[in-house]
Amino acid sequence: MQRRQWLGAAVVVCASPVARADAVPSLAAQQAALQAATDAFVAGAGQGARLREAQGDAGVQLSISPLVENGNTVPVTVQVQGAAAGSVRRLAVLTERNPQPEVAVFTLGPLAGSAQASTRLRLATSQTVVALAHMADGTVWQRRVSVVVTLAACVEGG
Amino acid sequence: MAGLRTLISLVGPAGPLQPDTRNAALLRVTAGSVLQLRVSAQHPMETGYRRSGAGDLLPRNLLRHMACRYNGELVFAADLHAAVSANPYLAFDFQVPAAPQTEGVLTISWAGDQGVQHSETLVLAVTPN
Repeated sequence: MQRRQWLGAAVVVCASPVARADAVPSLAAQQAALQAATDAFVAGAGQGARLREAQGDAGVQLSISPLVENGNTVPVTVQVQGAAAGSVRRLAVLTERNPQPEVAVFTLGPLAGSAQASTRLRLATSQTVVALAHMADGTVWQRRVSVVVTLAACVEGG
Repeated sequence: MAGLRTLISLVGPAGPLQPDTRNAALLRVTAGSVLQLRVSAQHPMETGYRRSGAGDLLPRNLLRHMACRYNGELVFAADLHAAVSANPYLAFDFQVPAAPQTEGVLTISWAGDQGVQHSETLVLAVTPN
């Protein structure tokens, strides 16, 4: 198959009305799913866990490009700067408007060398990306970053 | 799927560590140092939301879990979902224990949909600092 034909087919798969028939959930439903995923992460931090919004240099940091050209592979780094060894138990990345809010949950073991993890994720559209950090003292830090996506990942066929 | 192609590199302050010249599976590290581990696997991470050209829903095929252990002790684990890109890449830091050991085994294991199970090991020769 020639490259031109292949590209044409790929566009058809991404844009076809058949694929769009899988109803995209409403923004309210997606935000509820994100809230449920956040609550589940906080519940995993045990009784008395408190969710706090990270601001400035405090709490969890989320490094992601604010303008993404290709939503199929977006580098992302989550970290808690200056965290003492063993003070961060888990890190998570969630999204607001992907088909599923969860992206990845990282568990830091006794031999983790820092409170930092990187991966690459898919973004279905421009949206808010959320980082969470579960600290050993029961605090769960949350940071939200808005990302504009010019070419969306073909995650939902739409 | 037999044999999940996994790339692992250990990166120190001076760049990626090079394997021993006589044994490609052996890496020399310093006790007590912190190294970055970069792991990636060759895998489509099919989300289960996409359709083929014929309109059929492509079955979900994801790597769901990665764990990195050193001599059995957990370094880092990751639960992955559909939003992780194809050929998943993970980078994290590894604290080489200061305890007087001369050799250690670093294991990266994957588990995923359709019964995928795979592990890779790296032998580290630990030199005291």
